Amino acid sequence: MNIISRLISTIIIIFIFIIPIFLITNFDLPFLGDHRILISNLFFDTESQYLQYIDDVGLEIDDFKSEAIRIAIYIIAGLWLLLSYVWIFYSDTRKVFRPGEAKKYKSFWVIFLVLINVITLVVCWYFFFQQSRFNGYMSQAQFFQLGIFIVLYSSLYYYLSSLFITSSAMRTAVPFAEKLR
Amino acid sequence: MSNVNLFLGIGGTGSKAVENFIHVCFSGLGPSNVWLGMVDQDSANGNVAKTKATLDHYIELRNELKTKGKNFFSDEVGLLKTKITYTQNNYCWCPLEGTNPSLHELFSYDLMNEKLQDIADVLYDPNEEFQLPLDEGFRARPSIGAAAMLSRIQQNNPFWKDVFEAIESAKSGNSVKIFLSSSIFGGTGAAGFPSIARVIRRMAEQEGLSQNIQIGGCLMLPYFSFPKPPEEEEGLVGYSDSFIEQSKGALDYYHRIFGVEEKHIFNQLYVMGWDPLIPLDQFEKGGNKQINPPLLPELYSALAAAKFFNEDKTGSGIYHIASDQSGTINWSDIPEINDNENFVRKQIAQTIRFSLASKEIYMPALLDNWSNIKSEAWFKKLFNKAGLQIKDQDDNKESIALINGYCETYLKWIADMILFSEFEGLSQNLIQAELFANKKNETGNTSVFLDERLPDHKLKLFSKIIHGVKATDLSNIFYDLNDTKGNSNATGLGLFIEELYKSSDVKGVIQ
Repeated sequence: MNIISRLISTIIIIFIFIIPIFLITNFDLPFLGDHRILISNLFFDTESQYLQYIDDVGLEIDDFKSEAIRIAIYIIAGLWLLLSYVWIFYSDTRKVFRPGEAKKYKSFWVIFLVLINVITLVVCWYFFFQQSRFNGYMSQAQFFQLGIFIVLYSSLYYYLSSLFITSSAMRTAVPFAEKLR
Repeated sequence: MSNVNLFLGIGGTGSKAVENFIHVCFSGLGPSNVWLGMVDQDSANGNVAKTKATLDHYIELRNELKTKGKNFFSDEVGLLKTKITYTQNNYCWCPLEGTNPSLHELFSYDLMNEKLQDIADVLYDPNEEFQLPLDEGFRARPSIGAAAMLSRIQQNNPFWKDVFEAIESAKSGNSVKIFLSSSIFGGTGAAGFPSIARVIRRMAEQEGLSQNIQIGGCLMLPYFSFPKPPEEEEGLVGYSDSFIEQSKGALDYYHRIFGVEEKHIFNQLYVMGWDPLIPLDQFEKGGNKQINPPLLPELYSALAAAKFFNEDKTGSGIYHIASDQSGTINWSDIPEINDNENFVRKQIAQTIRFSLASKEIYMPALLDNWSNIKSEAWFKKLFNKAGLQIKDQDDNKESIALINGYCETYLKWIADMILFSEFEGLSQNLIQAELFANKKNETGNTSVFLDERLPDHKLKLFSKIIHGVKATDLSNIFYDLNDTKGNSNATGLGLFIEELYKSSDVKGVIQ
C-alpha cells in the first residue's frame, strides 16, 4: 500500500474502533438497552457520596456523556490518529535497506504500544475520574476495570492498525505480523 | 528472416573488446543474439583466458535464469537479453596452433627456391623476424601476422566453419552482421583485422550475398602506454613508444585499401583514438600473465558493436565524436546506440545499481539461511509466489552464487575501467567507483579490488554512485521490492531478479 492509502486506512480503522463506543454511549441499542443505565453502571459508583446530592441523576448522565465521554472519545480518536501517523512516519523514515533489519524495530513498536495505552488511560482518567465537575462519581475499582478494558481495546486498535498501516518493508517490526499477513 | 550477429575480437585488444561486449550485453545493450569468437596467436594470453571465463559465466548465468519452466524472466527486462554462443572448444582461433613455429618454419623457408628466399629476405629480417617464436603472438609485427593468418584460414576449422555457415545462412534470407574489433598498433590485431575482413567480404561476393552481409569494425588507435620492457625483452616485444609510428603507417594502409583500392569492405568502420595515452604501470610480453585491465576507450568499441548490431539499417556517412571537455569524460561523451536518449547511461547505471544491491544486500541474505527472511514481505511475494519455499534453498544455492559471482565480475569490470583510466591527464564524471572499489599499488603493480563488504556509510551513498542521474537509494529499492505486486510471467528466481533489476532503475538524468 502506498503512503496515501495507509494514511486513509488509519482514519478508517479509527472509525471502526470509535464508532461502536460512540454508539453504545450515546444511543439505546437493541441488544444493550438503555444507554443511560449502562453509563450509570459503568461510570457512576452508586455508593458515591457525591451522587447523593444530585437531584436528577439522568441529567447528570447526559452532562457526563457530553462533557466527559464524547470529549474523551474525540480526544482519544485524535491522539490515536496522531500516534498512528507518527508510527507511519517513524517506520517509513528508518530507511531500512537490508532483509532482517526491520525486526530490530520491534522494541520501538512496543514503545509506541505503551505510549498509546498510557495516553488513552491518562485521557480517560482525567475526564472520567479526575475532572472536577465529575470528581468522585467513579470508584477506583470501576476505573481499574475500565482501565483494563481501555488497555485491551487500545492495544487491539494499535495492533490491528499496525498490520495495515505499517509499510510492507517494516512489517516484521510488528509482532506476529508475518503470520497474519 | 532473422538476424545473425557475429563479433570477432582479434588480438589482445580484440579479446578485451569481446569481454567488454559481454558486459555491455549483460547491461541490456546488446542484440538479441550474437556469436563471439577471438583470434589470437597467443592463445594462453591472460586476456583471452579472462574473456573466456567471463563468456562461460555469462552463458551459464543466462541458461540458469532464462530457462522457461525453471528460472525465467522476459527479455523486456533488458538484463541478459542477449543470447551469446561460441564455437565449443574453439572459442579462440590460434592461426598457428599446436606448434611453436617461427616464420622460418611456417614458410618452409629451406624448401623455397632461391628467388623466393630472396623475396622473403627482403620482406622479413632473416635474423630476427624469421626466428621469432610465434607462440606468444606476433609481437606488434603485423607483417608477420598477416602472412601467418591468411595461410591458415580454412573452412574445415570448426571456428571458421561457424563463421562461414553464418555467412551462408544469408542465402536463406537472414541478415548477417559481422563486427571485427582490434587494435591498429599490435601484431595479431593489426594483421588480422584487414585480412579477415577481406576474406569475409570476398566470400560474400563470391556467394552473391553482399547485400545481406554487413561488416562492421572498430579499430583502436593507441590509447594506452606501458613502461619500457626489460632489456632482455627488447627487440622481441611491442613498445608503446612505437605505437604511434605504427598507427600512422597502418592508417595510410587502410586509407589505400579501403578508401581507394577496394571499396565497401566495411559497411561501418569506427576508428577510436585517445589523447593523452592512458599510462599502465605493468608490462607483460604475452602469455597467461598478460592481463591488461579494461579501459574506457574499450567501452566505445563495445558500444560501437552494440550500435552496429542494433541498427535495423546501417547508415552511411562519416560521423565524428569527441569529448566535450578536454581532460574530463562525461556521460555526454558516451555515444548512444539507438535513438533513445540517454539509453546507454540509464542501462549501465541500472545494471551497476542492480549488481551492487545484489552483491551487498540480497545475495548474502539469500546465501544465508532462508528461515531468517522467510517472513519478510519481499520474500513471500517474490519467492513463495514464484513457487520457491525454504526447502528449495539448497537447489537454488548454486544459481544464487552464480548471480552473485557475475555481479562481482561486472562491478570489477566497471571499477577497473574507471580507476585504471583515471590519471593526472584524465578525470571522469561517470561513476564513483571508489565507493565500492579500491586501487592499490603493491610491489609496483597496481590492482583494483572490490571492497569485501561495504560499510553502512558507503551504502548510504548508493544513490550517488552514478553521476548525472536521478536515482533512489537502497532503502527505496527494499521498499519497492516489499511493495511489488510481482505480476509478471517470470518464474523461479527470475521473478526476484526481474523485480530487483526494475527497482534498480534510474528515475531520470541530470543534464
